[in-house]
Amino acid sequence: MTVAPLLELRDLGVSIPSGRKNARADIIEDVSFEVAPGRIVGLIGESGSGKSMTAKSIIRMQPEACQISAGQILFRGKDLAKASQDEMQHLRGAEIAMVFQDPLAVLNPMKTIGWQIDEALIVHGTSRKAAREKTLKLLELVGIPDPKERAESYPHQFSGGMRQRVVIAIALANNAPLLLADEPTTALDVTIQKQILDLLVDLRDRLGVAILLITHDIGVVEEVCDDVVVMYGGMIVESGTAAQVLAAPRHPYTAALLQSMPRPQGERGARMPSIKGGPPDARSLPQGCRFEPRCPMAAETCRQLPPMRAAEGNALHLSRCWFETPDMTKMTAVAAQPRPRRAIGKDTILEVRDLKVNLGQRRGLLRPARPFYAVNGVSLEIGEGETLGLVGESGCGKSSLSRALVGLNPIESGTIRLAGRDVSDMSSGNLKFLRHTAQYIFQDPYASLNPRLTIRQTMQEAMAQGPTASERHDGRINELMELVGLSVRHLDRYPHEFSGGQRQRIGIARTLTVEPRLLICDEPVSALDISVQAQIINLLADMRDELGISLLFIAHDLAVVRHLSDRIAVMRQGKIVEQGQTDQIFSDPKHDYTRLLLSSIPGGHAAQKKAHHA
Amino acid sequence: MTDTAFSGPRASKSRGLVASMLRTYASAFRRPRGMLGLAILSVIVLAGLASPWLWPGGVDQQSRDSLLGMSLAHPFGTDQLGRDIFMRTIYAAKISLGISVVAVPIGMVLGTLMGLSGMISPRLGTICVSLFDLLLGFPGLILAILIVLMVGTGWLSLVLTISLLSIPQFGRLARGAFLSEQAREYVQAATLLNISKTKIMLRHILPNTLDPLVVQLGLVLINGVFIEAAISLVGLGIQPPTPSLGTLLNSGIRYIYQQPLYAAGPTVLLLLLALSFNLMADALNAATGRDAQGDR
Repeated sequence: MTVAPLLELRDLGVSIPSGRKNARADIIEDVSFEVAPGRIVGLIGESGSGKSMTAKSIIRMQPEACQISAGQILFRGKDLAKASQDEMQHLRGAEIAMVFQDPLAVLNPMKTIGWQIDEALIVHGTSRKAAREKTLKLLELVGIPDPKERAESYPHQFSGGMRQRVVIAIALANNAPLLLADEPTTALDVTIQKQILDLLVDLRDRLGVAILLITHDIGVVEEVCDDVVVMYGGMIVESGTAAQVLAAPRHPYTAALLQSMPRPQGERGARMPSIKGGPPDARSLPQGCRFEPRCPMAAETCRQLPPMRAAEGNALHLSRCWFETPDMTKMTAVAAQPRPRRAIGKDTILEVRDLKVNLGQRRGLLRPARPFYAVNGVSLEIGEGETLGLVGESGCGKSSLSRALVGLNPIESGTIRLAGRDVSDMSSGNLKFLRHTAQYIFQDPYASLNPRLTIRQTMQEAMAQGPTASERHDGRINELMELVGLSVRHLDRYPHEFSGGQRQRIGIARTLTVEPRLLICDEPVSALDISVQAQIINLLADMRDELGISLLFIAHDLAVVRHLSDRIAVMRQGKIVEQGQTDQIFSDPKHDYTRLLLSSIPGGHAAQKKAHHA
Repeated sequence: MTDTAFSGPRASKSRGLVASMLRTYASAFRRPRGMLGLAILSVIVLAGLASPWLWPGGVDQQSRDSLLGMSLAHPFGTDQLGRDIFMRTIYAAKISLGISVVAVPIGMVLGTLMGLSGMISPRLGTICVSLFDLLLGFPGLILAILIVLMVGTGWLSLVLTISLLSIPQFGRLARGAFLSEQAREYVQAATLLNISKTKIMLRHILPNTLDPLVVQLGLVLINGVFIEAAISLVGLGIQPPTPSLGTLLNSGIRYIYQQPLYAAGPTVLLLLLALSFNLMADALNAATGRDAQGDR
């Protein structure tokens, strides 16, 4: 790199007060990296890895309890760690701009978007008239059609992707040379995500903006980033150009992360490679290497001493590991164990014919409801032991459909046959049968457990509904806990003491108490970290193969669905637009929308593209 | 998104649901605010309970020394019949508080049940909400007059009025909490496991809606004391010679020029009670706030 870096972090450390008096615990340690003009640097890590905290510290907007305890933040040679809040106020927006995850939370609903962009310009000293001119140019730049007209619209009149474009326009308003983007596409659908990522690349190429892109999604990094910084447990474990890090990772964590990401191509029948355990807790970090407890290559040295960041051969590709390169044989040993696959039975477990769900709301005492068909004539079937993947973007009706199947949404017309029995009328007898046959796994593992009950109480309550004889309850609960990979000693704890992945396991164990034959999984892994995602996908596959349960697996992520499903149905605007064998959908999609979804999956083709940028 | 900001029941040992909730509420009184509030209330209540021993002559003991000023024997002076105002105020506080303590919990139970009734049938829930609105919109004094017409003056009409008026205070809170809890996934998960509606209501929804209701209890209790004072002030509640904060204020206002301390006594006591209940409600709020749902 010949260009002087725009932003340079040197040994940054951030600490929080620890439980003990006057003592402080480091949540970020020894973070050093550079962002050069005209490059997109991906800062990647799981929740709790310190990536957002790093970004917030750069603009000095970290929570009050967190203090920068060490190191420097050099922006154009000036140390921001020592700058006053006044100086920071001038820098934020003008020199360093920010884009956050949720555009709706950033925009003021009471003001037109034109006013809001003007405002960003005016506070940094542009006249009102010049500001409006600039605003229209900015709207055009970020790809909003009819800027003049749209400037008078309010945030709620824009779609999610358009809103994020407006936020980016505000960020760019003062020609800030550095853009901090904290998960800018996480809240968006894949097709919209692709547009926003393309926009970021375009801005880099045309305006030479430097972008620090914080994300948990390796696909996004593969798609757009020039450089990659991987954080784990508050430290950087690996950094280098995207081509280096993604093609030949040197740290076992990066290698494992890359493996555990579901991909639109690659082995399907096998177990997904996963990283055991969960991310470390900032309050009890391991003494040696932070990744040691989860590392398949861990040796005695790793337990004792934290490794330093070191380069090998290429001075720009740093890794914080005692080993020079990960031993791929050890890495893959945990990975591709083939899985014995149970044959799909001949019987149909679920048969849905022409289902319609009307979610139209009554708008008053005398005004009739305007019909809104969230599900509009859907037919599908699932065989015994089969997995059907249901894919679609937010608002397509996939959740409404799955909720209707278990009686949480009213059905307007159509039939549902479950294990040969017509349950469409949802009478109390049918509901009872339904709930012993089909169970539901929720998306949000944080909300699906009652915070006031211990796991044992939750499980006992569910057990009482199942077919198990009451004297066998305790034994069966213990069995189920083991089955989902938890231990009996977890039973007397409360939900908040568990990580997201563990809670999802508990959720799965709870559904198994009634011995269902069909599990409906509504985005069961989308709230989880990648390394944990793979564990849950494997667990679901094991349940299916060992217990012969059928799965209806709902997700917005085609790659995740692909791994588990025998067949895939693509849903859009309440209808199923395409349905077929998984391989056929991926290799030969018939419908335009399926093709669009497939081409929007980030990553994949990106690694080669990087070479000329590096 | 970090899991570091945990809150919730701290101990990981399993305890009964009820025990762990009671512990949280008790912890409110270990906070300075809670302690102070409880201390003020205890002094007033204890003095009220001990009044037969402190003033063996009884509250209605009259003397020739009418409308005396402050003295060591009569800290607040005496009234038009020569009765000790300080003693009567303490006694009155006991009566007013007693009425509120009987009436408000009745309103709390009824209001909570009505607020949660949407669980049994959505239509019943909507009807209850309309009832709350009706009660809230109805002027309290007119309601009191109607009840007095039906059952006559005295403590019973006061209890009825205060209970009725506190129903919506709890009901709307319970309804709001019920609506938000009902949409939560753990309630739906329980529904999908075919767990009965009553059980879901008692085990899942009620415990998770109880915290704001308990805080509200503190505020509505003092509100009850004020309602009693207001109704007795206009002569519809407790009848003289029995002292209540309202009746004392009533006569106090009449002698405001001759004996300013007469009205001051009950007023100061009302303020002290309000302070004490607000402090306790504050402390409860803080204690349960840390126990907020899960970790977000």
